[in-house]
Amino acid sequence: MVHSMSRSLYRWLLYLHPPAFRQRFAEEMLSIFDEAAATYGVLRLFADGFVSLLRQWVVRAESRRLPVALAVPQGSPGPTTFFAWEHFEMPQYSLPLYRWIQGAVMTLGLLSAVWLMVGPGGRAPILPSDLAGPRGSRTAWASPTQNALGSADDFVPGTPGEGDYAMSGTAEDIHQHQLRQQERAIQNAVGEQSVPGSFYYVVESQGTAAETPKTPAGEQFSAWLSAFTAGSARSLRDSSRTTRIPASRT
Amino acid sequence: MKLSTMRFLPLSPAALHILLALAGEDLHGYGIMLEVARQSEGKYKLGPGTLYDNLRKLMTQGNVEEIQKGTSGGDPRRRYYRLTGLGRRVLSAEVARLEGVVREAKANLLGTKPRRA
Repeated sequence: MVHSMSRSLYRWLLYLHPPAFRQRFAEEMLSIFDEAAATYGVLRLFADGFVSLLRQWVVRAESRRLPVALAVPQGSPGPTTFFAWEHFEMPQYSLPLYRWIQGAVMTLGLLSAVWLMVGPGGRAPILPSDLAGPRGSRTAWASPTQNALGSADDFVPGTPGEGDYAMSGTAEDIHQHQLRQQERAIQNAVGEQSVPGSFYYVVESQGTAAETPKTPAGEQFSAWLSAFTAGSARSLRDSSRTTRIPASRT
Repeated sequence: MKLSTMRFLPLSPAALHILLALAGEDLHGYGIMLEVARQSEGKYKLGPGTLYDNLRKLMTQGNVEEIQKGTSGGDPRRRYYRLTGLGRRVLSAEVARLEGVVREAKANLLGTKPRRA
């Protein structure tokens, strides 16, 4: 009973030794403990074990390092054994200067590439090809087929053609195209009338006077638009004061 | 050859006793401890920690090597160690050095050596 307890304590003492020393000699030391405890005395062996523990950690620096080739026995299964913390060994030499410079340059290049990809503010940057390069350099998807200026006849509501999703163009082209598509959809819905605020309404209003439907809502909007384009705060207030809000149908 | 042995000298008492124990025959760890105790007539006893710390150093230096030896009937945890040729030369050089130390000590202690003015 006493021997088994002291043996367990001695084994624990051996376990506290540096890994390299422990793996090489712990079993032999334990076997000696089993044989010599009666003749040498348990206390003497424990004292020797404590001195050895201090010596290996404090004096013997080489005991703390364990070559990976020795640490990992051949055929040891799984990565768990290999990546145990005690199997790692830091190199004793420092990296040469050119290696530091090489690492710094590579890091800067990588960070620059990430910055270019993400762009300032987290938005996709506007590349020079978007401004002056040939159109069609960036492939767009899920966008109806159309030339760069668009056409009023290319919108087929609800039934996109087979080739409607193969257009190429810049992001700005796609955005403008989507706006025109929305405009055409609204025009079809209201009967070929330009919708105020939309792309076609602005284009058409530059050449001819704006036409609004001859309805109460259209008249109210025309009055507000006139006040708005006049740029006067007073006229805007007057317009809002004279605006009649239709009564609820309830 | 002498230069290659001189760099290991002087040996520590533990290393000297281990080499002396292994000079006679190949031994395992506990056998070395018993042989050291016998050679010193029980006045010097190596503990396992001291023994294997010195064995490790001696093996690194090439003075001692581990050998494969059958442990028929014995403890399979035992490993046997042998003195190498280099270790034997180192031991011889250390013994020669100690002979000079003993000679000088006797001369001083017995008063046969003239003192300097």
